[in-house]
Amino acid sequence: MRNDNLFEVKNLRKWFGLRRGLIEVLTRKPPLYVRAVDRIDFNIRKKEIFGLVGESGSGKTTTGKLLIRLWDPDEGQILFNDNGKIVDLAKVPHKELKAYRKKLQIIYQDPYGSLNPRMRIRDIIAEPLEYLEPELSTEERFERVIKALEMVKLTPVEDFINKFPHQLSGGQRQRVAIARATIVNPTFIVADEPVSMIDVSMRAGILHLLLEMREKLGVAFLYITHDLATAGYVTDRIGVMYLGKIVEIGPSEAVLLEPLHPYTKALVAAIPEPDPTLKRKRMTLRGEIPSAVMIPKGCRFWPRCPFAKDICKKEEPQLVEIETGRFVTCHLVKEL
Amino acid sequence: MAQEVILEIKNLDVRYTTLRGDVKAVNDVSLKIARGEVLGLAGESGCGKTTLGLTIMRILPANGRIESGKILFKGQDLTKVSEDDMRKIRWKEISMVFQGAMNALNPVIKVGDQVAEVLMLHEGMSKEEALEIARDLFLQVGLESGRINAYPHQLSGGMKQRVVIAMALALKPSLVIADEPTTALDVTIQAQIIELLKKLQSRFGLSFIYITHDLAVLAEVSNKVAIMYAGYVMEYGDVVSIYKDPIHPYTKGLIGSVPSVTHVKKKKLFSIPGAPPDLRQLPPGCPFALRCPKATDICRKELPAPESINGRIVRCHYADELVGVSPEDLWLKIFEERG
Repeated sequence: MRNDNLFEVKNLRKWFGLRRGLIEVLTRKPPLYVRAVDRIDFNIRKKEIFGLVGESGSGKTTTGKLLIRLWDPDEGQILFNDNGKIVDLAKVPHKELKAYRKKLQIIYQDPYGSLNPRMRIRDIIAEPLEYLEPELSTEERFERVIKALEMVKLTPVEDFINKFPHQLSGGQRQRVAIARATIVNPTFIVADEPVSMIDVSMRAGILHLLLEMREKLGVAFLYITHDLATAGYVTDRIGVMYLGKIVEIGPSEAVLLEPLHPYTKALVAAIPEPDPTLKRKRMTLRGEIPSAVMIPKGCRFWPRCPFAKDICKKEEPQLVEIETGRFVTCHLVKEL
Repeated sequence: MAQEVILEIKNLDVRYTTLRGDVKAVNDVSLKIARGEVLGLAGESGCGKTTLGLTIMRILPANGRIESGKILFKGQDLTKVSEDDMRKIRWKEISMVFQGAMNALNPVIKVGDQVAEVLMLHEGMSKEEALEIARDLFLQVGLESGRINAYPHQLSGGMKQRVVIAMALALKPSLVIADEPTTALDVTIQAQIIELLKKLQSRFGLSFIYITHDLAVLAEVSNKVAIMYAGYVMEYGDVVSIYKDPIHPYTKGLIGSVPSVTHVKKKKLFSIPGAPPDLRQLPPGCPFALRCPKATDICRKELPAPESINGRIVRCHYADELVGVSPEDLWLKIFEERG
């Protein structure tokens, strides 16, 4: 494992079995699977904000939950650099996971659903400490809560500690969720669509907070989103997912300004720009993302790809490094 | 422009009665829409944009009421017409694509029948005639005509949204109010739906009121834009000039908070500190004064009147001084101080 890598993910796979009816079992129909994450490889560097982008159903959230073992992978390795000690998180037994919970945290998309409406802000933020650092005294714990609130700029602190979530705006609630995730000083946080439910005028504040956490606390993030514009703003590198596979990885600016994979090209072209004078040529994709149960043979993207050739229908392309640091899964990338 | 104005809203006030006092959802709103024009209504959640749409359709919830003002549609004041007459205008003249409507399709009725129902009820058509037209409508919104026999669960989100658009177009209205029509869709599908709406607008000379919080989408679809805050229209004018030189501090703030893909890291984003006021207890002065970096005593005491400046209507005491001030110059410092 490279020394500056925090994560090395290899051949990671998670399929979810569909429920089968009695008749299907009796007639021995083969079981069907939703192939949410279908053998992916990528790295996350220390202190990096790595963006995982894609449409709904592409497997972004499942990947995030696998990395911090909220799901158990079916196959593959999740090598985690724990201060120089390399651990394969995929193989850590459930009983020993608690040791890693302090290091791996998550922020959910919906700050209206992720905070218990009957708990006060101070208790919400203190809860992880009760489980993960039970040795702290009440005063020490309170001290940490105050610090966490100051960190996320919910100040003056006394205005917030005794409030309930419904008394706060969406942006403030998401700050509470961030404070709760950072109070245990994690090394890695999965941020699952942290701004998609927040009013535009408050989004930048949350994004800057993530950047600041990285600066001050040295936290690395997996930033999961369908919004390439915000991803371009906060991330260092981006991985684009389509139907359970990563189709392109590269530095954010390069991926957005000169996308290589046809899917990334279409995705970037689909993003509206806040500039009414700009008349861009739009490449509209045919159809929609297919079901992750019936994955097309060959390249998963070929039924929607405007450039697809015979080889694309037969052979699944592998992730290849085209230029330094830029990886693409596409047979035709050289021609395009 | 000598275009025919089809809808003119004058000094409209809308209130919701609640146990804790009246919610002032729409305040002194005046807007115009010409034939074939797309008016974008933007603002944060709770700024009154959906209420305005519901008011034009006259389908406010039971506790909502039009307090004062006029809604002139082709010369007729919609605030005065009887419910019976309104029923003839609703859907036939003005229709609406509701937010989340694609999830409100009846799950046990074929989508074609749901579209046909509109035609049978309003036009007294037989089911066969109505289905024939439904087939046609499906083609126009980019669905195969055979899809009329599908049930909603057999269609994807984007297809259901197309069905809902077909429904809104069924009676050939002249004005369509689209409330966040692409918000729940993936970007590639959103792009398809936006292309479709643009195509329909130019083919039928439709007028649209496009309601969204997404300023990037508005830049693509609209000709004119009205920025709403706390029920007031803060800035209203031509889309190009508003995006190029937003005058109102709130508009400047909003535009500065939208990320751009073509200038990935070059543009420094900021957000507007604070939160919108409670619409039950609006402050006496400008509703934005509490969050505004430019606010002075007069802003906290006196509500600014809408003023015409550079071909735009702006509601701000300092509109004259703010022309040409870049969003960054106005906002960056205060954003970095207050986070």
